[in-house]
Amino acid sequence: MKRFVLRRALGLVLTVWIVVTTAFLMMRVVPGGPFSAERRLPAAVLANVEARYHLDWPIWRQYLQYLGPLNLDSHGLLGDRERPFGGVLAGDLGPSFRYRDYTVNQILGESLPLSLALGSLALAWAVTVGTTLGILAAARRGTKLDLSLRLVAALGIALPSFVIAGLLVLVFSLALGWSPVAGSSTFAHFVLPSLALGAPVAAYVARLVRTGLIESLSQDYVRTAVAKGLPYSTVILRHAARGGLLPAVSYLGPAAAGVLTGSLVIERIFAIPGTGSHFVASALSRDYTLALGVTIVYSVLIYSLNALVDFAYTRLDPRIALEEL
Amino acid sequence: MAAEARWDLGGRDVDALYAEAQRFRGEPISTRAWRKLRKNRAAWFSWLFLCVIGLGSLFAPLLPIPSPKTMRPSERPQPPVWPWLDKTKQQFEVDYWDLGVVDGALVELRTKLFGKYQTGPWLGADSQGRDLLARIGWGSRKSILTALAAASISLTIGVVWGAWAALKGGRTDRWMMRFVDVLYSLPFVFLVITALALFDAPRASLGEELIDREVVFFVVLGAVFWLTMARVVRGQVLALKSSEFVLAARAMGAPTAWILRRHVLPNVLPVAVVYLTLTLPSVMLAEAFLSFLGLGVQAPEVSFGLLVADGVEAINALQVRWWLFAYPAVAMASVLLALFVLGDGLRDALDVRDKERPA
Repeated sequence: MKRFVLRRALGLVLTVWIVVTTAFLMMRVVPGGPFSAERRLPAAVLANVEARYHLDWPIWRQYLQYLGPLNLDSHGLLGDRERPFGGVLAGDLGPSFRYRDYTVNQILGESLPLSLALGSLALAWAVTVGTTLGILAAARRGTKLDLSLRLVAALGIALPSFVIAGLLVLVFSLALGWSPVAGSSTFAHFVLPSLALGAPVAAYVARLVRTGLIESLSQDYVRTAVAKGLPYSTVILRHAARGGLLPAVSYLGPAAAGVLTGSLVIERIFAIPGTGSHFVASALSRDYTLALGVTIVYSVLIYSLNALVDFAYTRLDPRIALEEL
Repeated sequence: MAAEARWDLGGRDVDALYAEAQRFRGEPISTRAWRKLRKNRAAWFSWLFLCVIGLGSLFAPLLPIPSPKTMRPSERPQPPVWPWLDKTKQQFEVDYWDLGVVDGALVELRTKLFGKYQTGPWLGADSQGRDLLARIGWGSRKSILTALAAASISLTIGVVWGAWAALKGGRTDRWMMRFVDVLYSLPFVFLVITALALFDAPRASLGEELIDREVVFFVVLGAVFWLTMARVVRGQVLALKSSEFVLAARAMGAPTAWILRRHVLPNVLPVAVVYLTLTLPSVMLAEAFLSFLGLGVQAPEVSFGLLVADGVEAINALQVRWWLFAYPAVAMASVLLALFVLGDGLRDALDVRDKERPA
């Protein structure tokens, strides 16, 4: 247990470090900055603005300042600054280049709750519906129900989430008028986006559950349970499901990553001011700190979720020891 | 053969046995896979469908469709017209973006073949009067070629990396696969978007010859998708390395290169082909995703992602131009679905370990 936590913590630090370094170098090596885009600023103004964000420093110093935890600002290492610590290691993602007077932490504080709500809603329905349909398809293997469920699942995997989103808007918002088209003020605004976002995940989960369950239905212990005279539903839910659901559990980590990725597009379609839409905007307008900040937060999120899923896996499958992961 | 040299085979004739054994020819993996694929109706249909679409989109410049770039501004967007009700007699104009040598020649051949004839607005036109049928044709071409290029890059890197790690073994193997693990845990989409957005701006200042966006696009996508391939190939090569037939070949003194060519490669290729088929739709999805965000293929060129993005934008309460969303979405979804089904079918058909077991 201790070893597992320690290894994962180390891995997390390594991952974040690689992300920060790669993205940071990429952003500084490619010519052009956030202020060289549209209107050319007068040289004096540009120098001032660059000094404000330390863009006039050598790269290594900018990098150390961004990484933290020591604040290298103006007067040496520990001058008369009120904040001796800063940078990513101190949990400070810096000021945004585009939204003046906002720090990245503030922007994330406002947008992340929206994205997390959307993402967890999508994951929740996707896992529930996907598991149910997968169990149904496996229990009725070879019937028309199984066939049609498999077709729906294949469609769900093949269709990009923005096509599903367009379809949902066309049917439920415009044709039937049941749902608002875009926005984020009420719960109703989140229904269609989370449906579109979760659809591919639901399809994958259904497929994994079906395959896993069919495999575990051929196990000896399932035959024993049937031979004992247990009802079919008990055999499936109590005996077969325990082993059969394992592949789906290990898919939850990638699923969470997929939902976060999908939110980049879905938030744009439904005009939700979440982290995903901020990320796309910031990457396009070269808002270095905001783009990096979102990438870092999402890497931490995905990595921790993966670790949690692996942990849950060992609890569900006693054959796998925590130390091996 | 002399009769006295024969073994006692329970009174059976050696020549007959030998002849019987001769008839049992080892069937090449590819032949068996082909046979199994034909039996899988969904996969076979997908294969035929993809052949038609692939040829059609590859030779899209030859088809008598309008140019996907020519705009005909009008007050009202042109809805789809059934071919038999089509009264518009528009003349074909050569109006394309900078075509390469091959595409230019194809378009020239098209004007020789069909003259000024072009199809009408059978699938409608977009808000700028560009013909949707032509845009879907050229868009599928772009998407499919992009996917093929990026998938081949990832195939090459993945096979070389995985096979090298497995053959070297030991510390090299550990470090190479640890590297893959680390890359796996990176949030790639975010880095890809950052990279593409970054390389977007200097294009204006450095000129297009220096950093071609499409090259960045292929390299970035190819660099993402090789990870799974490397893992799978490594697993396969590791299994092969300790298999009896490789050991036997080695015991007989076969040179390593020969073993590689004769025993390892034929057994790795099926796996690589399966993952190539499964990588293609993923790459196409990624291309669509990035084009949707405005980071992939750039107008005036077209791709599935760009078309669907336009279509989603055309869905609003003011005027519903459903065809702009429906036709590109159906085209893209059917190609992706066919690729997924074919990939699954190939995986079943090429599974070398699975010996003709009844389904």
